[in-house]
Amino acid sequence: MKIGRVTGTVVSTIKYEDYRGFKLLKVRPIDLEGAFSGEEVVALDAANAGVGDTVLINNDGGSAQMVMGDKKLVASVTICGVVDHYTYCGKTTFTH
Amino acid sequence: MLAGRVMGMVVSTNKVDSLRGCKLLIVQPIELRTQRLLDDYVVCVDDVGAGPGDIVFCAYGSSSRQTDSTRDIASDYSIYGIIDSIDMYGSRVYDKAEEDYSCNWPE
Amino acid sequence: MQLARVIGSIVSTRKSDRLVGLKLLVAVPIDMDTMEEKGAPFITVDTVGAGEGEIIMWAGGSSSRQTDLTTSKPVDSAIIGIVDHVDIGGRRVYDKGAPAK
Repeated sequence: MKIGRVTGTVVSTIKYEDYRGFKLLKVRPIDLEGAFSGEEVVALDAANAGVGDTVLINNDGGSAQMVMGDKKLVASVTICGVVDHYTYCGKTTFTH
Repeated sequence: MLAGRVMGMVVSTNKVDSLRGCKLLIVQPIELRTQRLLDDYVVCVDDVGAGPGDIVFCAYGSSSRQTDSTRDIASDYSIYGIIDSIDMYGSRVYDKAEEDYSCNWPE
Repeated sequence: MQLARVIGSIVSTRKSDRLVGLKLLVAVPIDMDTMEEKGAPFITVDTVGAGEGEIIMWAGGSSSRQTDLTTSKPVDSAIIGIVDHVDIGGRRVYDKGAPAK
């Protein structure tokens, strides 16, 4: 998993049937200093996150099936948790 | 298998049920020969009881959910072992017993 | 599948129960044109009894769990063959039996 920040919401009316009812968010990974690093992606939200939240980005399809509760789901990136704080090299960063 | 050093941890209260009770550690990949930290990181599910400063190896993707304790965890990277020593080109390039590396975090 | 050369090994005492008995090796990718080492060394699991210096084939991801030794083991990279020789475009670019240069 990577740590990332939710940068926006995505609304799609015409979408794959299995995605109906799922919230889509735009999320971008951050480095451990808190700066954006890497590409922004669209993720399925499983943790009720909101714009500005620091979140755990899970990048595995099998995990996506698990957290969204659909064994046949075709998805790659999911938001699995909202980060309270993280410690890196002895320094703790509170994210909200 | 990814080799890296445990450099930190992540705390999340609001998370999916399939991550509940998991220890999430920040692992920074290393160059095997020098153990130099690379400019990247992954958040891993700990399956072996790794601690700060340990050099560990991790499996990614579906391989990260192959043990009884990780089967139902929404993991994409899991720590499956703590490395004691690394031998390369006939010489020992890393020995945990001889290393003096301190990396701590407040509990 | 990709080619790599075995250059070392890893010892781990504290590891997942399912990995007990599996040998962890260090390999470095090989450039097929020159058969020289190219890229960063990585950790992989041995299923064929490969030894240091040998050129091997390895598979990554869930494919690495398709051998009898690695079935349902937490493994994302496995050595699945030792290479005897490599022919490209009618030319033998690698021969294990040939004397070392």
